[in-house]
Amino acid sequence: MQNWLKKMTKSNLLKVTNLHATSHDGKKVLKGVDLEINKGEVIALLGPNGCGKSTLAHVISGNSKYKVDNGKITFKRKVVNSFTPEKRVKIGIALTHQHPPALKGVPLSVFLKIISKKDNDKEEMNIGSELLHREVNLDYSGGEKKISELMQILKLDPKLLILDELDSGLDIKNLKKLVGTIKKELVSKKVAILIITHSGRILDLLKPDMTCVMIDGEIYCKSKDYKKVLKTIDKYGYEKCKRCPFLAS
Amino acid sequence: MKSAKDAHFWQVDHKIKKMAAVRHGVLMRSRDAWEKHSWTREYLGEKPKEGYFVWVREQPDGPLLTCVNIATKNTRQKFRNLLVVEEGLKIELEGFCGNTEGCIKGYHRASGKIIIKKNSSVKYKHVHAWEEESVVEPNYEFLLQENSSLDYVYKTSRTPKSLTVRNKITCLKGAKVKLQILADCKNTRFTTEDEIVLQGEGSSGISRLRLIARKDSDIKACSKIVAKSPSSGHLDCQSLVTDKNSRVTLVPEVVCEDKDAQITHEASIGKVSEEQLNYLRTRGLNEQQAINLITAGFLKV
Ligand SMILES: Nc1ncnc2c1ncn2[C@@H]1O[C@H](COP(=O)(O)OP(=O)(O)OP(=O)(O)O)[C@@H](O)[C@H]1O
Ligand SMILES: [Mg+2]
Repeated sequence: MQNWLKKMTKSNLLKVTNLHATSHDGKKVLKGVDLEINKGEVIALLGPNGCGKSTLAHVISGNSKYKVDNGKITFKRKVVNSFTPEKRVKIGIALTHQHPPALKGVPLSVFLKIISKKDNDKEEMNIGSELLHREVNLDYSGGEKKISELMQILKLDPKLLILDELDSGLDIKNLKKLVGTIKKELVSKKVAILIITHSGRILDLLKPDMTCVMIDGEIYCKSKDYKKVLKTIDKYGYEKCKRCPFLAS
Repeated sequence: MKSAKDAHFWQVDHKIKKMAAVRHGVLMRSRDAWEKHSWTREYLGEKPKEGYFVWVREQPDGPLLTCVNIATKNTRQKFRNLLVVEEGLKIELEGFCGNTEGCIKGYHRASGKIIIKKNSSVKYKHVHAWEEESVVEPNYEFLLQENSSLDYVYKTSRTPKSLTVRNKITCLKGAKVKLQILADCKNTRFTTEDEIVLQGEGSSGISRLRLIARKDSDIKACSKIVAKSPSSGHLDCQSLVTDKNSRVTLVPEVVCEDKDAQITHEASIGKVSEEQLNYLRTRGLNEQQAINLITAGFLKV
């Protein structure tokens, strides 16, 4: 097939169009988000605190706490707006939570067995075994929560993985280990990844194909060069991002 | 306990199916104990019709198991049990009571006295699983002598239409008790009344209640600690409501009669947290599976 034809027929894995969403107490958080992710792509999403990154992640994964007022979420060519969170997991959408809640009385080892979509009991990670006998997220340190999040997600066999600040709270050694696992178990298998982050550390390791900046519930710019985006944010701050002289998409 | 056959004492309706000889002490019908050991009358009162007497006199090598069933509709059991643990022993008890399969109606009343002598420790797991139409009333009194300890768990996994559980525990000097009542309630009127009396200096008591109102349940829990000496106690009463046709009433009561005692309490009634529910759903569980997992975790000892 010729290249231009391939491009035309290629459909996105995830396509978010003109997405508007409100939190349950009536705050408008997402104000027209457009986002496309293809199979095997790694996309970074940056943005100031409170701009709506986690909200977008939750809305994509179907959290009923948020009301979608407008717009469409398409995954594998299906509009999934009305799908329950569990159905979205089933078709391949997975999210590591920024603030995962504790599950009292449920040991992590038991939980992994319950949620696993895989037949084998293979340990995909070379860390986290000391957490297995502990109750999920109960009194975990910040970094331990992230390790447990990734251990869980690997059992779900996702096609799209949203990492909501997986890197925050991890020391550099553990971050490298987790990224190593992500590359081996996911990136190499063409799983698409959306990385929500505040730092370049994880981007240096995962090398995103595209970097987006969200401000006040909208995505303002998209660039292939994450280093340039980070530098610009560093120099001018997010406030000026909206009027960015270099990055106008 | 895997099956009733493993039990040392097993009764179905009014018939004793098994009463094993125990090497470490005495196991007999409580009415026989009333005849044979006159000192038991002080605890048993009038001559009992049914029930068992366990007298642990030496260190046993394993847990002591009892099993009581109702298999015939409308059977009315009226147990009077006595358990005496001599000084300096460490014992484990497991008791199971419930209907056998297919029998949905019966009356089970049991009153028991448990005497734990000096420096002994008892771990007692009491499990109930009664069917729909049954009426069940266990009523236990524990006396903890000096420096003894009791770890008592009452758990009901299936609830009958009416269940009234009473526990009174008296702690003498240095005695410690941890009482746990764990109930998963469905189509039931469940009342639990527990009272820990911290009689002796340095005694301590914890009462921990975890109650789930799952479907058409009316739960009332009265949990009380009385401190009569320099002692410490804590009441921890929590309930989860997962159903709109249920009602839960928690009545924690702490009474302090000594200025050097310290008693605290916490009580809460809530629903399953939306955050946990959503979290589990983003792991692929549906709403009911998520609620089941959360409630099972809530009832963990
Ligand atoms: N359930 C909610 N109720 C009220 N406000 C909410 C709710 N969820 C999110 N918000 C608000 O919406 C805004 C966006 O929150 P969100 O968590 O998406 O931000 P974020 O971009 O992930 O920020 P951070 O970088 O700090 O994680 C914030 O102002 C937040 O307080
Ligand atoms: Mg966030």
